[in-house]
Amino acid sequence: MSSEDKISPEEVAARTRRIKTFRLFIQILVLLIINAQIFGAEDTGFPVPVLYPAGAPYTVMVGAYYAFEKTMTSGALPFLALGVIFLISVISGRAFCGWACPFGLAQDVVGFAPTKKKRPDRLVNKDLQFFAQFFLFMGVIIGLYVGWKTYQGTDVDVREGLGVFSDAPFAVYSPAATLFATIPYMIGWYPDYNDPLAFTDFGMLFWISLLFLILILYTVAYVPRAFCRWFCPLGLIMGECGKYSLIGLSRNPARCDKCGDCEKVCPMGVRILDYPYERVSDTYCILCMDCVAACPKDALEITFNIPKKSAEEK
Amino acid sequence: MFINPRLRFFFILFFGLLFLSIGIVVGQYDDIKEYAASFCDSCTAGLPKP
Repeated sequence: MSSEDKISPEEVAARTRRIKTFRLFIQILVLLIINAQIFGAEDTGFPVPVLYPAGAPYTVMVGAYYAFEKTMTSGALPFLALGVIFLISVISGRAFCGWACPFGLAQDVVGFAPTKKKRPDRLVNKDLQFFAQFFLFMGVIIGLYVGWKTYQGTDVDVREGLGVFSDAPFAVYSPAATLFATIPYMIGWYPDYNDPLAFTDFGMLFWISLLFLILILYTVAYVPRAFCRWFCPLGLIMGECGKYSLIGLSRNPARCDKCGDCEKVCPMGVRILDYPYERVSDTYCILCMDCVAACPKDALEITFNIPKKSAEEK
Repeated sequence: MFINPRLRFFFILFFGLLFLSIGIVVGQYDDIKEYAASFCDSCTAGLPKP
């Protein structure tokens, strides 16, 4: 293709639709695989780097972040969970966020709402990512403290004081846990509550986590993948490792005319054109391929190589 | 930072493999399997159990 060749807008739209549909299909497939107990499969307990609560009714796998916190509060260092997160993210970056995470799927579905989308860029992301850093920090502090007490055998008081936060702190208010565990259990247990007044017995934590879920989904309707950008502690770790992943995104300098169509469609607000041609090493890139589909010059492509020494950072 | 991206890649890969190996050797896979099988109180916080 010469630099003058451009794909027609109709073809770009059709290609974008194809890629989005294919990604949606993979996300639903992964959701079904994670919940394979529906089809009679046994619980494997295998940690996967997606935000999914181990307490979901039909799950056969464990979200790696849940395993990370739960291992710490049980009195051990979370080697296995961290190993899985490091390895998967150094191979595939944040592709699991874009293609496999069930809460990512929920956000993409809410994102279909016909609202005027805002796409805050990297600087806004960096500021608001404070929330994810806070969740990660609190998880590690509580995890290590409860874990140390558990290791010493003096954890009873601490666990009583912290309540459900002493188990897996992020799962208490994680919108993924509310959506995939709390709400399904609530529906499943509903006949046992006998009368609607039973809802008055629901604890404050339930209403807070439900409110947080509603707020997140409302925000997602206007800002695509807002939770992945600003709140997800797993995405934060994977993003930092994913900057150096084997699978990455690159731009062809002979084809790219810097029209900026790729940046307009990026759900994570990545400033693709700010990066060197050989690699877009951004912590927010979830490799969703929306930019690849949107490029009228076919200048963007997914590459598979070890990052070069010269690759710049942002 | 003084560590270049290629070194960082191998650094993360090395620690990923190391942690995974340690985790498997010390039996954390069985522990995680146990957590998965047991009921998650944190995931249903505030919900009255029937």
